[in-house]
Amino acid sequence: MFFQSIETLIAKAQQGNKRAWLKLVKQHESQVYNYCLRMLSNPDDAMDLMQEVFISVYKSLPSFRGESSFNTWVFQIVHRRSVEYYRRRKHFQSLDEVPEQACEHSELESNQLVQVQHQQLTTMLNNLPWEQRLVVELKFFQHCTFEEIAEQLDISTNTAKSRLYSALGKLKVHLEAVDG
Amino acid sequence: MANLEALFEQWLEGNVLSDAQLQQLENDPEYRALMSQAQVWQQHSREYNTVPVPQWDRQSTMPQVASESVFGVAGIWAVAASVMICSLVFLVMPQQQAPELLDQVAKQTQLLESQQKQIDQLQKIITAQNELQQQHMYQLAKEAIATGRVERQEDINSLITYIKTLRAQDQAYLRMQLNDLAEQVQEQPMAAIAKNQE
Repeated sequence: MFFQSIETLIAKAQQGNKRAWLKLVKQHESQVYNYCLRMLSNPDDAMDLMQEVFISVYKSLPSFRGESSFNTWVFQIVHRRSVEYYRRRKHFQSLDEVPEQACEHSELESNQLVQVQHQQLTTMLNNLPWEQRLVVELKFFQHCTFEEIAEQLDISTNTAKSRLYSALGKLKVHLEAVDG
Repeated sequence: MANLEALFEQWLEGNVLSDAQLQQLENDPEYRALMSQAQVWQQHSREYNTVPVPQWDRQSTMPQVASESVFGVAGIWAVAASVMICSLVFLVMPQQQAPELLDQVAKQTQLLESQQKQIDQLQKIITAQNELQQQHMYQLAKEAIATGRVERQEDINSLITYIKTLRAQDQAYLRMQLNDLAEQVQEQPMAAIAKNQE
């Protein structure tokens, strides 16, 4: 198998090359899936959202002109889709009512510590309103700058900052509650 | 305060602060708390173990596209094969056999060309067949709609006929009752008929 740069893969996928597209999906699926998992805290929902995201990316692929990096472009779609998914799901149940679900993956079952960490993170994220959760995800897990966050979420830099500070404030309350 | 905010932002963005600047932030209770909370998130991010993606159908991300033409691919292979044969003949075979082989190559090329033509024809037939099928589907849908319309019309017609029959029956019944009344009136003696007198 020859090494193909991401630009080549994108160009081929844009021309309808199935293998190139599947390779692109494989390269990005882990990042997207873990993002969805952190945001939705449910493996089934994360899977659904990831699938929707990649369908969206595939449909929009002809319009990708390479003005930003492919990763940034994909994540712009991920954020849009996740907001839509969240709004849709909100009609059925509030996120606060969602029971915490232990990750059922067999590899994780063998590692209790990892499971506990994941649960802690899920609880902390679930404690935040959706908008703040998005900013926390982008700041601490995607390592974006405030400008990038603002660009990705189509908000001002100040709004991005205030959302992050509010999220940090909420964490303080949460930690105090946990510590008793 | 504004200075502290700027420093905190720089720290959040991952810029390296001097010891004095860090001390400045840590001396402020509000920013010390914010820093420690941000550190909790940073720690979670560092220690986050990527969850492996479960098995899923990646091809489902590709909406139905027209299947690649097998004949088209075969055509390309045929041309490639003929080119390869020609090059091999010129490179490998001895000079004496060259005319015979050239003839064979020419025949082979002709054969491949005729096969290519056949493939093209088959492709045209398939395209025509698809178009025909679409037309038939369209006709079928149109007929289904027309049949539905005719059936509805027939139903309405039978309903109207039924109502008309009912009305005719009612009218006949009323006519009979009126006739009965008229006969009774005629048969009564004149004295029995009420006279309106003041």
